Amino acid sequence: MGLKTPEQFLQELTDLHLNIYLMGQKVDDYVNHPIIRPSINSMAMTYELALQPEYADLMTATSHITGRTINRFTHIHQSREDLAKKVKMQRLLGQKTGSCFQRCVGMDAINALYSVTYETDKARGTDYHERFKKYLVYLQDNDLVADGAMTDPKGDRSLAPHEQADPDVFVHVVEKRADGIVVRGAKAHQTGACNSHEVIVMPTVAMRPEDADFAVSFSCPANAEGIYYIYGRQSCDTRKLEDNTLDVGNARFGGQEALMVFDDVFVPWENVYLCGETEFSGALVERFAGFHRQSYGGCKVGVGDVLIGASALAADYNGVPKASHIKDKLIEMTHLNETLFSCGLACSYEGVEMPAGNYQIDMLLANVCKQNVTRFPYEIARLAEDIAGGLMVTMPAAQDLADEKIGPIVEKYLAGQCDVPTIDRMRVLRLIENLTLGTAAVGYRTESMHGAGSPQAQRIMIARQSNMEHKKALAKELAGVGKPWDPPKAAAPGGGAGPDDGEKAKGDAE
Amino acid sequence: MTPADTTDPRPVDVVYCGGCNPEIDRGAIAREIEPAGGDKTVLLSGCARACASDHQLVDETAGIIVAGRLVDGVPTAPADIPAAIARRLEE
Repeated sequence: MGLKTPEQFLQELTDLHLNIYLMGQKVDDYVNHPIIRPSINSMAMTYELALQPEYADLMTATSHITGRTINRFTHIHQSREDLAKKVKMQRLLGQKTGSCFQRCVGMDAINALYSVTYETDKARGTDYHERFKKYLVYLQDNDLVADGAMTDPKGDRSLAPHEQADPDVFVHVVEKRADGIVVRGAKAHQTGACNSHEVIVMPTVAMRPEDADFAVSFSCPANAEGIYYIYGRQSCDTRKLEDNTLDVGNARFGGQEALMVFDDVFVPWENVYLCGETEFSGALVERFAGFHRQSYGGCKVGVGDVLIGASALAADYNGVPKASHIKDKLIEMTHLNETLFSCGLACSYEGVEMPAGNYQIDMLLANVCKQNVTRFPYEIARLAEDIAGGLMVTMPAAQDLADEKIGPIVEKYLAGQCDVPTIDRMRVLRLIENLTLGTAAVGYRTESMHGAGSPQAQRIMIARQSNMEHKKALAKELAGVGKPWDPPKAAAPGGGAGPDDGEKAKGDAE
Repeated sequence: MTPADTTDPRPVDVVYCGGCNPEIDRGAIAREIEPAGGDKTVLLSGCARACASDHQLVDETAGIIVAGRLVDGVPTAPADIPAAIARRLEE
């Protein structure tokens, strides 16, 4: 099996018969549910572009294990160029979907596990790495989507996993059998979970020996017995239930998150990649987070491209494209967006080859990248709203525009630049609303803040890697700290070394 | 004593990175290990970006790789790095 078509992906997703709940009801036909379908279309785009020759350089790679052509989302990075192409691929997909396309979490999970399983085996004599490589070939050869599941609900944040009143707030092993383990718990905010063939679970925090039951990593089919999903609400999501494409802003694409519950799920040993080796839990968390923080330097930039374009169109349709303050705001948006891209590329081009043979991003720069992502999209969104104007949030509904009596009135009074149909002006304003306040704002704003770790998580990593002693040494050297002091000579009679005299001396020199 | 023992050992070959972000004192480490001699090259980078070894943390064919606080990929305190290199030179 080589690269799959979007149609094959849709059929396979249908055949999984996932247990999905949405607004208190089980959804059997989730592939055609109007709230869920746009997020499926985004995922399908990762298949569609991989089949197009003009995007193959970014969307596909050569498996280092089999030598076969695979979707880059299942690839283990083999060079710094691979790391950079990952970021560029993500920008491309952000541009094409204007939303979160969800497949990055699995890619970041496999790349983190690849090196951590190798190092665990070296230290502990386990055989996780070979197990994982077999699983990896299965993902690559079948072009599967894997959900990288890390974030536990975490309960009381001041307590370690084993100290929680309810241990289920962290996924943990409840039983070890000869043929495998049984796990229980949940993973929160799972991007793309209801779009995945497979689930790859990782621990969410660094752990101590007492947390051994919680230091567990494994994979299983997304439809394994005991797994169910509670679909996350998004701002303005019920607009998708209305029979119109205008008011949703982006009718074709969207993102998704879900609460994923593991209700005593059995996992065979061949799919277990960490089980009790608590000292490797932290490394797995840091590496997955590092890769995912790199990801945001691509995906959010692509969505930013769409928002900047929509803002420029809004300015055109409002008749103010030549206003200097509008041009300046578009320049500022572009500057911020390209700065994020620069960070994504920088941490890629400064990546290193790990002992396992795969390439990993520069951790400091990846954290700097994500720290900027917690801020810049908000500023880009603010400027987009500034350019769009208040009509973005006060426009009448699509039903009003379609109404026989009111429609012409809406058409007349919402007209902007005279060559542009009112409907197109409304479409662009709704797209900006979608990205800044609607369903896509989940991905572009709040996910930029908390996805791949909240801002403080990056600041901790930045502090650890800031090499502050080197910076202090540089300053000491230039300031002469610790060197013998040669005090100025005593002032000669009639002269001195005070400020006035200094100025005089300077003037003399000139 | 054989004739070969009467000559000073050839100093260890050290390849430096450019030195823009050193977490360790590369010069001091080199001065400490160079007299040890040996056929292996020490690729000495100041930080984990590992520029001296073309961004590899481990490559036995290239030599001993120091990348900041990593010696052949193993976390090592700066004060222990010369000793860690010396052990590898003897292997």
